[in-house]
Amino acid sequence: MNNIISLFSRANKTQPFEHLVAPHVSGLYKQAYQYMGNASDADDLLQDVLLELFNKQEQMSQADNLPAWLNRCLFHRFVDRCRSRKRAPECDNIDDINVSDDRRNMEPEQYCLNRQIIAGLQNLNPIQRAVVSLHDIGGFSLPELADIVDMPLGTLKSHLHRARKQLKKNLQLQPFDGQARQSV
Amino acid sequence: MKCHEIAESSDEFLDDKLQAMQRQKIQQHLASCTVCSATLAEHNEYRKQLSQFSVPEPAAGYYALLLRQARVNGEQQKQRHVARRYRLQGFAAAAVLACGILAAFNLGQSGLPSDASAEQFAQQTELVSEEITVLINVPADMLGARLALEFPEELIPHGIEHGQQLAWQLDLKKGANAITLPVLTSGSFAHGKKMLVSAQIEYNNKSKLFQLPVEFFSPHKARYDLVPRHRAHATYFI
Ligand SMILES: [Zn+2]
Repeated sequence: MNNIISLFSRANKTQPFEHLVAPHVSGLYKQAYQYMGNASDADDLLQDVLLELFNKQEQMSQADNLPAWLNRCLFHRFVDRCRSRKRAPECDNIDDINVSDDRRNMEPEQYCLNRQIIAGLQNLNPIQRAVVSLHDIGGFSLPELADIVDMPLGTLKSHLHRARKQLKKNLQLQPFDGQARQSV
Repeated sequence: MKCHEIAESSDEFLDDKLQAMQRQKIQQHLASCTVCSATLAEHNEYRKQLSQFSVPEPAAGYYALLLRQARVNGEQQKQRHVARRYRLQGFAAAAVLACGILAAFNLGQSGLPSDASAEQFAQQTELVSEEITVLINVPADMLGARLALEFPEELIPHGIEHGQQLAWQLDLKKGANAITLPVLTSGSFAHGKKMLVSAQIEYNNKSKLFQLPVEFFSPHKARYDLVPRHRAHATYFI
């Protein structure tokens, strides 16, 4: 019996790596999904990042702001991937993405909104996509964001401004007269 | 106040984070500037839409598996760097054993017939340590459930000297519960071999028996599919 107890105290003991990352993995997945636009590519990106994180456990345990630190790793992986993808044929067409599972698990209205936003994000360049989704969806503050994407605050603000403008356009949030807009 | 200043403070304005004085100035400007009030309304709508956005939830148990897989891969990468000489000949490295339990779990149904293939396990002098993951998906919290696992002869639960059966009480939480156990196995047994682990769960004086096929996957290529929520098959990884 003692054997059994010792076995299970060992088996049930959470591994340090899992223990450290588990509270944040859902947030990372969601962010990866916003970057990649579908579950399968998000999974692929996240697998890469988690393996990298496994090898950086010491740094990870010293991070002051772990969610931001983890997102920094994710962001850099994402950007690397975009660079290497540039040479490969694009497969970013939102209509090709298989989301049948999502559709099944969601209200139609929610599903439509999600699709619009994902499509809108996919139409932004990778930096804009990252900035706008981390800030406007993920809720990271500008100083956190500056750290995640490694940019001075001023540059970041102008990226955010342009990204929002483009995303609003993509979402067709333009109920107002174009001329009035131009006169600003 | 200028129009561009309004644009710069629009988030703080909408979040109500401005000081009363500043807020009042903006309100005055908005009252007289249709462009700014239209832009602000648009920004408000934009924020509203983004706040309603949600990423589809992955299948139950996905995160636990993802983390475990990263650890197993990482550990094995390290081992390859550090301890090449410990690798056993003839054993395809990176084998991890995994088995899954049906996504649907209905208490009260009688168990499936037990037919574990009890092929003779050739006595090997060298045993390797592996991990087996049992994934149990339950529809509601089951605190203090009793789980009994019976292993085929090829797998020896680590730390148990006699017998192939383990039983203990545990708290199963609604959704997927991943239980990882160390096992010893012969270094030379074939990967394609079919093995079954029996699992019995008892809760509230009801019990259910599962026969779980053990699947092998190589963590370097492992691509477990997302567990389909409505499919009644046991195997989660290939
Ligand atoms: Zn104005």
